[in-house]
Amino acid sequence: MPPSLHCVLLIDDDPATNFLHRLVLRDSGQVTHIHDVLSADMAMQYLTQCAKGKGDGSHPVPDLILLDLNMPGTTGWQFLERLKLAALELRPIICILTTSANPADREMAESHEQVHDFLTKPLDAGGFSSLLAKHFGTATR
Amino acid sequence: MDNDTLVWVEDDDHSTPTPGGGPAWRILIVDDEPAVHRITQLALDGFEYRSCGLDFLHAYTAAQAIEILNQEPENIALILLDVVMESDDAGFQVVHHVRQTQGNVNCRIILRTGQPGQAPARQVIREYDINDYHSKAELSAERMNTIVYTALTMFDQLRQLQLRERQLEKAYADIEQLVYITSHDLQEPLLSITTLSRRLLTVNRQQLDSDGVRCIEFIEDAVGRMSGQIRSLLDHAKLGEQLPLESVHLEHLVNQYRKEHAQALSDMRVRLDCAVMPPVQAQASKIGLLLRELLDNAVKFRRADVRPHIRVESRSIDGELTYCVEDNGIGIAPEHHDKVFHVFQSIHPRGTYPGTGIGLAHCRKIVEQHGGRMWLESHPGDGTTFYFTLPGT
Repeated sequence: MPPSLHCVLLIDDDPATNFLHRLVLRDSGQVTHIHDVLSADMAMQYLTQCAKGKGDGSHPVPDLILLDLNMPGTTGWQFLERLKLAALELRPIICILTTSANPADREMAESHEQVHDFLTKPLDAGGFSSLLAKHFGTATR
Repeated sequence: MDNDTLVWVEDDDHSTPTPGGGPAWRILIVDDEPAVHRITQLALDGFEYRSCGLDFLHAYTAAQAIEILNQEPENIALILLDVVMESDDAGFQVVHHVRQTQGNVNCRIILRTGQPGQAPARQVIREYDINDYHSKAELSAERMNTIVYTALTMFDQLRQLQLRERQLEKAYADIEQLVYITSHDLQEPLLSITTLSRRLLTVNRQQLDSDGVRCIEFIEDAVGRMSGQIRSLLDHAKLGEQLPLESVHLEHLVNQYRKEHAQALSDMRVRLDCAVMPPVQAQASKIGLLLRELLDNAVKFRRADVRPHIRVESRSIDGELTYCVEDNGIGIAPEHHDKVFHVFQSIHPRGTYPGTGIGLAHCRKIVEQHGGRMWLESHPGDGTTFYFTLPGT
């Protein structure tokens, strides 16, 4: 089966989480490029570059962003605000991925216009294929 | 006064059932004139507060009153107290017994005197926490009802407040205990994980591919971090312990820091200035920790392009003695000013600066334990000033 996603952007301050998610995404065989960053600021930089040089090989445009909420410095929620203000010509699917069992976070995610999904970490193979089926219409194996 | 009245009063049933079903409010009437007992009771006939009636106890001398108080140390809500009985200050002996001997601050005490000239001195009212003073002429039903209603409201609120305070203290102690125990117990499994993953990386390394090696490295890293965080939490919980107060000179602590870190400070060309400050009565080792954390912090977040300059001094801010630790470091953005004081809330990505992110949480806890406040002023790129007050506990 050919990869169904061109690029996925992982935003998490924990390198171990990014590494693990990278393995899950790679093993699914459905993603061509995986880019991971350790902060919301780095994510904004990356996305700004994407918007400037669309189609540029060095900054593939993400179809999907997996976003952590609780990060030092800019939090996931603040990142969403900044992304909205930046008004980049990008329309990725944004899925919040967090260990936060905080019901307030979940509620906020459900009503948040920029958020398409909310999942609990870590994302596993099954979770990822459901996510693909739900937002990208890819048949699951 | 005739003896019939006395008999009538003594026959009164002390265990009047209350309409609300709860315990009645106990009121101790202390007066050598039986008529006053009778009139008071008549005036308050049918009185209820929060669906509970009144239960009267009667004493005709200070000695009797003290005896009753010793039998019912907690339950008396209000004492209506005559001053002049077997002696001119017999009433004050009762007040002294309640407030000083029994240490009862909840019970409301209202003095009632026969002559206007017997008004107690202001100093006496304050010293003994006497709540009201009335002339016996004011014994009308309406007046008595208002007086008793006000007194019972206060007694009730005081008691509830005291209960809440005890609950809070207990909850706080429970949390500290929980943190302490869990932190302690969590270290053990962590040690097993560390040892086992170390073994995988050494003895079994040949059987692993590069992803496997990285996985285990991440495990080690995570365990190391968790272990550090647990140690910090333990330290934080231990800070809850109350230590004796001593006279603390902050400049001595700064000098000590300077000596202990002489090499590092000189390597980084740190200029550390310290003013002579008024000493403070405080828990010495905690103030030492507070200052160390603040100085470490100032050194850690220095700017690469300027010579680090740290100043420790005291200022009078709005008339209050305030200690300041000022640096010319990287500064803190306004949106993070509160966050830095929270446990494990680092504002920099992990690995950029060492530490578990608990130092300033320690600081604030120490300051608050001393009844003080802690805050900061800062702009990114423009240095940070931490302020704290130590008014004493």
